[in-house]
Amino acid sequence: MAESVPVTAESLAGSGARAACTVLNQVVLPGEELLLPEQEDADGAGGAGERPLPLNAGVCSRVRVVCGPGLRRSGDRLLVTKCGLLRHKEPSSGSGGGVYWVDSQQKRYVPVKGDHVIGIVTAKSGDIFKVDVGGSEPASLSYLAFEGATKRNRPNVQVGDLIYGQFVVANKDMEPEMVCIDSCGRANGMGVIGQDGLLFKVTLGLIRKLLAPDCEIIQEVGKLYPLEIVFGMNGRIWVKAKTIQQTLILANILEASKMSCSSSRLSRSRMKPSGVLAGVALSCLSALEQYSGQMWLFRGRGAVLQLWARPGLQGRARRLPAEGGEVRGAVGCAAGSLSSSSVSGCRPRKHVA
Amino acid sequence: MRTGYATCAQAHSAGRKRRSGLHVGSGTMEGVVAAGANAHADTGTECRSRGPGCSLRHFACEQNLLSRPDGSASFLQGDTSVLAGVYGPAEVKVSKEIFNKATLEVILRPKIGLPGVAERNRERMIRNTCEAVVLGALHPRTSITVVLQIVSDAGSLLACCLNAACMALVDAGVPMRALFCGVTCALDSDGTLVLDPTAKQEKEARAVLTFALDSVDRKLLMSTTKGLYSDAELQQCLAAAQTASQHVFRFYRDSLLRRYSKS
Repeated sequence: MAESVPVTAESLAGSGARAACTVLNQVVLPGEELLLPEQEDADGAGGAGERPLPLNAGVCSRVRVVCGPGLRRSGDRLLVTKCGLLRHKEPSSGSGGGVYWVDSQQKRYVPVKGDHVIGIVTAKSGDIFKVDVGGSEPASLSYLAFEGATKRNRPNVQVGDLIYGQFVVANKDMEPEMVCIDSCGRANGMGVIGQDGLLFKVTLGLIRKLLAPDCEIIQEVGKLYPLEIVFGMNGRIWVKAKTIQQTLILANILEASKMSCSSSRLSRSRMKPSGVLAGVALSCLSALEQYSGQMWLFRGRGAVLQLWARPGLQGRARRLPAEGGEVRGAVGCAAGSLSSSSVSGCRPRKHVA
Repeated sequence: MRTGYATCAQAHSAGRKRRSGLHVGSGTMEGVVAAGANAHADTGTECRSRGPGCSLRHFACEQNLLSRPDGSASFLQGDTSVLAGVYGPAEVKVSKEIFNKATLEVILRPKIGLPGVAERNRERMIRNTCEAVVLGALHPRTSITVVLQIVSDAGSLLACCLNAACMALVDAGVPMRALFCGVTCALDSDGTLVLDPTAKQEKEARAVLTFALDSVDRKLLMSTTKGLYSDAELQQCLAAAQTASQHVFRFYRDSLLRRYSKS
């Protein structure tokens, strides 16, 4: 070639494998290989130190590292398969090398075991319901997988209903299966989502961002007026407020929250709906006395927040804990603010309409 | 909401004053490309006076511009513009499902008229390239569909389609083992090699060769050639394409860095 454009060090062919720790929180592209840290130590230390001679000279001992979404193992390296920001989380228990994953922006959901999702019932055949969760095939939900369901006492689920449940079987080889009870047999917020409200779809990254423990959007939104929100990890959000106008405002806020900061977002949308008292708090309530009499926790993938109250009944609300396991119960009243309380100290209250 | 807009002007990055044809492209993309082209002079020229054999046209890429597909991208190379949308992993008809990997489908729509044999041929080539790169084993019994719409054709169409398909697959989050790009070379009657030829150069050329290269080792994934050329010329074209693919991959990287820096 007549002109030789300088080949910079960033060219993908020449870089080879880079150490994972050097590219944390940076964009990685599919095809890049990452070296795990302990391998470098083994290579770099050479003969120094009193490490025992390994029997197999080629193999170096590795700390166990969990490979999260967007990464695959190729030999003793990590191969990046999706484009996004590389993240790392230190292990909490002290052993193992932690988790590496790629934070990518995606719209299509792939079922993962343990995820809580919102599904739409598409068919009822015999003993199971077929639920569309946005993946490549509909998930199956047995009619017995509801709290208090027996062969004689079937749950009242129709085609077109919204279901909030979690996956118990979700891998690439089998049809996904979901249930609406947890391992103790309690509903824990799952089940049929009530009447009215609005279901809309957002990207998966936005859901994770809204459910992150340090996200203040929900708290700010909750101070406006009584509302109910259910987040599904498949990108679906169900919202409900007293009037349709408030519901739509809420939906617009959540969709617009994919932009960055919260204050600018709140000022952008119309935040003064008529007829709403100033200083209205979240109307989320504590656990049901009629079911178990205490607030219960459940951990979803990441931090999951669910505020759910059935109008007209004694409401149920669960605030699901973040990774740290802290639970904050909120007691709703017309002009109060969010207050923290411990798990046992939360008392059930009647829904304030 | 449009994110991930980036342009690459090779003249700019190489730091030289070279007159490359920076025609702003088709009407639909005008608002987008004009913003980037303002930084560079020389809009509106249609003649291409490039040095023999070595430069690629102005690139532009935009991701996530369509709301319904899971991933979408628009790729511009000079005047050639292709819009790609990716759906997947989605449901697949039982007749088309493969038990251990994803079924990849490519649909190419020409700018005017119904798709014919040439489109089917290009679809097959793009599909073979994508199948070599996409990790279909992670999503068995699903379908990944790539839909390409030719917005304007001014030479190097297959290469532009490959680039658009790659960016759309990345935008959709389909797991891939590498990125890929397409580069076209034309050999004219006195043996001069022209990379990224225009339609006029392609018509006058003795041979037109298109290569698809992957990002890891610049390996050859697909090649399609038309015309007369010798063995040595083939190797020369392949080497030139491999060097040119570095620019394309660097442009991919810049484009994706810009997209993720916004979020």
